[in-house]
Amino acid sequence: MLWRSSRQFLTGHPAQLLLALAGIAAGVAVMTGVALLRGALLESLERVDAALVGGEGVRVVALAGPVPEDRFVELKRTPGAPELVPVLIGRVSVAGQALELTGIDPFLSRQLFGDGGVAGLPATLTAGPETVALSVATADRLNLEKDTRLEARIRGRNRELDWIGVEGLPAGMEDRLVADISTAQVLLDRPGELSHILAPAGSEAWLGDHLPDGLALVTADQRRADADRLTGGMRANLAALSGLALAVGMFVVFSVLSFLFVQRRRSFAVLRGVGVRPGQLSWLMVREALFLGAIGTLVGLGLGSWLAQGLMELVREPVGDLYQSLPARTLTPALWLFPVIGLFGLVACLLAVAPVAREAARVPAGRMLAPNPPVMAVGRRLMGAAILILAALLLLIYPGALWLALAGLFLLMAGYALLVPWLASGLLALAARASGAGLGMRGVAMLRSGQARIGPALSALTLAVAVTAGIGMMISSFRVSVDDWVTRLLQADAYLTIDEGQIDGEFARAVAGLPELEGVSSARRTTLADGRVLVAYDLPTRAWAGFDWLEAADDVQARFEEGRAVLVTEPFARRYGLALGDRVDLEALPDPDGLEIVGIFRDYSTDQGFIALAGPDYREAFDDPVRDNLGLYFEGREIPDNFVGRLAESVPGAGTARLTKPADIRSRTLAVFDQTFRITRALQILLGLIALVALVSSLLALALERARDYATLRALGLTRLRLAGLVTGQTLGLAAVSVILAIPAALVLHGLLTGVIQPRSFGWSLPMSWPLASLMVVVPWALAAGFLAGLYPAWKIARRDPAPWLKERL
Amino acid sequence: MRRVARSYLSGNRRVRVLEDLDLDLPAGQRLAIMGRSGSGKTTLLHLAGVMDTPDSGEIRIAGRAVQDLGEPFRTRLRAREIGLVFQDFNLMDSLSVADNIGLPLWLNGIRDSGRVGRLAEQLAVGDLLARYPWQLSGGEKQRVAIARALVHRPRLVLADEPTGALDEETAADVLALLAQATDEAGVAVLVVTHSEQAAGICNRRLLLATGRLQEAPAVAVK
Ligand SMILES: Nc1ncnc2c1ncn2[C@@H]1O[C@H](COP(=O)(O)OP(=O)(O)OP(=O)(O)O)[C@@H](O)[C@H]1O
Ligand SMILES: [Mg+2]
Repeated sequence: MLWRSSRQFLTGHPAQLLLALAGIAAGVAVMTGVALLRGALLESLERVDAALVGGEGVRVVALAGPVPEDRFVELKRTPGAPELVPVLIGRVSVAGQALELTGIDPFLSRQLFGDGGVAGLPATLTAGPETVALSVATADRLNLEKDTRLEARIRGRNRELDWIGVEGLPAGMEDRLVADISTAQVLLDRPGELSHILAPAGSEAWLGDHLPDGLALVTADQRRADADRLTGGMRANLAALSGLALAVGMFVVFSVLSFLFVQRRRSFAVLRGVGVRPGQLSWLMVREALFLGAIGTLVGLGLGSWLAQGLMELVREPVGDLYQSLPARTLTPALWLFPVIGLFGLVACLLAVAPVAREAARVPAGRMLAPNPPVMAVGRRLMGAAILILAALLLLIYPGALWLALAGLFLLMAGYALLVPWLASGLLALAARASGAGLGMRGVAMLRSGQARIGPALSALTLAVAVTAGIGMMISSFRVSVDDWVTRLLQADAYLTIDEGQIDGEFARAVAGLPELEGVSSARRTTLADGRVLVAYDLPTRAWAGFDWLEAADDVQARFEEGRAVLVTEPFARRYGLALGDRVDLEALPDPDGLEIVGIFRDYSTDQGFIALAGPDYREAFDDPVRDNLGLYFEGREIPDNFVGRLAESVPGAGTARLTKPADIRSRTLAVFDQTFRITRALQILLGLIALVALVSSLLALALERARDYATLRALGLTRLRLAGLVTGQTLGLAAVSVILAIPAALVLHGLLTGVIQPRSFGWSLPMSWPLASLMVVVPWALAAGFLAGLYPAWKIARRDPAPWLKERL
Repeated sequence: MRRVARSYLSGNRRVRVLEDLDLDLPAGQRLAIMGRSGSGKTTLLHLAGVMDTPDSGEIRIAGRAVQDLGEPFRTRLRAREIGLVFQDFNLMDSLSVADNIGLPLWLNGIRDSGRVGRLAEQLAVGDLLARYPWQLSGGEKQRVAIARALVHRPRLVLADEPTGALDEETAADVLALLAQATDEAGVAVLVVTHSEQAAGICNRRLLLATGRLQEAPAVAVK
């Protein structure tokens, strides 16, 4: 019987039913979408880790740079040597997709492929000079036709390769091209070089005794720790965003459903009045909430999966570029994720129904008939304030751990959302005082009388708008920081690289001797055996203006050039807990005390951080004369005409030299930045869309609920135009209220993301800037949504005679 | 009204409520319409109030065929010339009693020169002006609704059971006021009622049955 009355209400208000379901679905979808995306990214990070760890085997790497192949041969010939596999890894791109090319010795690769190996692989790979193997699945994905050649772009050149699809490549080898080691060396233009040597687990002891100088051992555990470090920042970032998405999603579900119930307080009161027991009524509400929640949640789960799939397409490439491992194209979400999110959705539903159910059980039926419930807002307000205080404590008192900061962030937003209805009623009271006696006053009065209903909706809206705007501000302000940093960093007038061959000492000296040049800088980047990154700098005085010091010795330049001193980046210092004057150990530069840190500088190029060492020290210790690039400082501060031509003539080996202007590097850096933040942007867009759906649906529901009042006004002679003004004015007003309340929350969120979360997840601090433009872009969207939400009901009511509306519902 | 018909779609069945209905209401006349519950009285009143459109037939008010007028004219007609007491009052919960009564003045852009207060006094709701409709009793709401229908001095007053929620004594006062307020020349009144007392202030009574109006006997058949 009671159940039937619920059903009648819901089917009698199809628009509201749909809106409620849409709202619940949207809330659940945002949770699902973000969770799935996060799952997929984490999974790909796992794969990055797995790829980096590369099984349980031991790796032999060079202290810096590549392993010379002759060292491998030497080691292999040592009596008693375990089975050693030479490996060379490089990046190629096929049909615009980034892939890894892995060169191995197929006859020695039992460790990679197990005892059985992959049938026929050795024969296949050595069949021709330019043959690669790839899994059948990868070949399908790249749309490779049988009997055609594979066109790949390798080191800036287009190559055509023979390829063979094989079944049964082990997981780590999917999405890769596998080639014979000598083929890989030719293709990658790295003759005589290896990335590392693989040795079976358990061979540490033997290797430790026989390892030649300049090589080091890396165990699987060490690699695992490195890999975790490499992907830690992204993990933290994802955790922050999914926490926010969870908060927004739950509030959306909460608001939509609680509206549906608060709206029916009267009918519940009538039911109580005719003798329905409070328990029965509460049970009815819970059942109804669960029923609607279940449908909405199911739809939301599907919708979220679909959204996540779309977003995945957007973020695959940047993730692949960042971590050298592409996330899978199709999401294979962990199955437990769905019930868990479903549960969150249902919990939000139950939380939404709880206050009304409690009221129905406790408050005398007669009192429930009053349209303004004796709001339980006080309790909610206290709870909100308590949560805010807790959040502040978490953020201020324990500034150490990242997860505490994340919890603080989550609580801060949730607490604020609980306070929103109260703040909104204050705003409406102000508006009422300001609006005089016209249409506006009547509109505001109508809103104020419905506060209990619009409260939760306003919470959800405010939260969604704040999160969208806050993330947007964080990204913009970060981009400004990166731009400032890179612009300052690039002091040279041009940067020189060569496509073929290497820049060695002789080359560098020859360039420096050119008359047009005032100075030349150089940089060489290398990864140490323990995963730390080392950059060797030779810097003329002008280049030193490029450092943005966080801490530095007074005579930093002199100390650095003297040698036996290093500079470190901010993320490096933070990661290893180092300060100015501390010492860094470098195995290749043995020094009992380590090398003193004479400067810590801002750097956003990698959250791993790096150590900068003076060029001469580096070359001496690592026996590596190569420079990755040269910075050219011209007398006239710009590239003279025909410089490239003269360079090619007077410097041997400079035939393929290429000059890049700082502006180009800057824009490339920003492009990379934008790529990287596509993930965050994608999540932000998702949240924004949900916010929009939630905004329109709750405002629409509010307007529809007032259909009878609007019809009465029409019957009394309110013109259609003024009615439209009234309805849209109200929805617009609500949107405006939530935007106004969202602004402080967005600012705080941005401040926390930028000032607390970023440094703790990536190790870099960002100069705080307040890009109000990113805040303001959400304003027109929110207001437009508010306006649109009012148009439909206004149009609908105005289209027909008022009499039917007095009886019927929308 | 000439040959007016109005039917509702209920499910997939068409319910004919008014059929070929004729009605004349000269200015200055007070007309009572009686009839059994569900006979279509409210429907008729809504049609007369230009809030609804007949399926067929013609409705003329002050000589103009209102069903052919554009919505702006119909709206203006409602705001200026018609005062309507709804059967279930339709007061705006979000507005105070004073604002509810003042609504038609505001809609017509007339400044309230104390008329709201005077009318409220006369209808014995003067003490309730600051309250909200949901804080009123049924009878109080009814009187507020009546005040709202009279406040802008409409030329056509339509009242749907205006004394349904009132005791006999209050009803007499209210009816007297209704009669007095509409006594000026040119005001026409249409009262839907079951009550003999209310019909008593009218100079003519009609019975609505099977979709048509017929002259009613002076005393309702018991
Ligand atoms: N929207 C509607 N849909 C279907 N039928 C309707 C609708 N509105 C009214 N009716 C039917 O039309 C008939 C006339 O309704 P109306 O409200 O005019 O009756 P009434 O004479 O005012 O009754 P009462 O004296 O009980 O107020 C009734 O039978 C009613 O059931
Ligand atoms: Mg009726």
